[in-house]
Amino acid sequence: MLSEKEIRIVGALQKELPLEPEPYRALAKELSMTEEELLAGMKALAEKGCLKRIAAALRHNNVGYTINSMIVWDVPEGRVDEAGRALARQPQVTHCYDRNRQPGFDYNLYSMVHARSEEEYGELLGELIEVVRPVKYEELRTVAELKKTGMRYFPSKVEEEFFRL
Amino acid sequence: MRAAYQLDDTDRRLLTILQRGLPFVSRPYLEIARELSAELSAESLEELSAESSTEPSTEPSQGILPAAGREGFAGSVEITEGEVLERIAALKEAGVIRRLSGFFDSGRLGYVSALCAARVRPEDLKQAAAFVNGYAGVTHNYVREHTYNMWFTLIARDIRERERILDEIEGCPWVEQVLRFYTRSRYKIQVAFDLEHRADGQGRR
Repeated sequence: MLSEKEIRIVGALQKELPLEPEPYRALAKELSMTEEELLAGMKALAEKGCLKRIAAALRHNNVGYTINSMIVWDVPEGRVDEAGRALARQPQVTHCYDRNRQPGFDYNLYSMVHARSEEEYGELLGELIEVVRPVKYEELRTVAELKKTGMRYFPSKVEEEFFRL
Repeated sequence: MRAAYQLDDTDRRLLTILQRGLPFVSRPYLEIARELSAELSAESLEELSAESSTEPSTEPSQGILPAAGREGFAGSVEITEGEVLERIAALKEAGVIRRLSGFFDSGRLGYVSALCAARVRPEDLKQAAAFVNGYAGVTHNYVREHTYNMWFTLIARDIRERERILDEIEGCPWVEQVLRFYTRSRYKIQVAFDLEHRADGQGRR
């Protein structure tokens, strides 16, 4: 369980990191703690695996990756780990998960794939098929992005009033 | 949609560093500026020595970047903390950087998640999207080419809340069915988008 102080730190780190020379000092001030306390709290959260990193998320489309596709694979259960790890090694595969199958959607391995052209995508798909050796697969191209946002963890009482939870 | 922002070599390296993560130190942007300067200087020196071996008479200060405001001996490239801050601001403004903030492991924070596939009649997509996106825990939502045409991720405080929300979505008038997929194993969540290498992963562009 996280302490009340850790929860406040998580809350502050979900906001945009201030673009000034000492961003953590600015955040610490908002939290009424010292910069040292905040940095120590961040390190503790990172050690627990709660905080993965303070980093930039990019818009794929704006850096040239115009083709985004979810490719789902039906792989025999005994080979799913091997196929999952092989997919993970491909640089253009950004996400790869083993998930439960569902009636009407009989796939167990999920991968998100990004490419800069049809040609690149086609070649990549060919390589992936060789690596995964699926029983069957389907490509679900991204047609439109309807929402993409970071999660707001531990919202305040005031925020909760505005959110639909 | 905005036209693709023209990234230069320094931007690409900066984005690689920013995607991997900022150091937990008092002046993280200064540390990044030093890392960038070291990388660019190393490359600039390589290029200079390559040039001088073929063409001995070139002016030494022709680095790989416009020399605006930079000084130092041949091959040294100095990126300041201020320039790092300016570049990040410009990359945010251009929409290349979507956000610069903390990334958390939702499971370790005690949250649960699901990937969900909804079947929606094309004429109902707009209203279905508005309904689904209204939940704070829906962090990603995409239209995909498939019978199950709306795919979204949901993060919730516990299993009961997650299933309650999905039941509500399935019960709304614009959604016909929702399939729920849970994670059994996670093989990859990529930290950094590769902007410095060619698509085939073979060397720099």
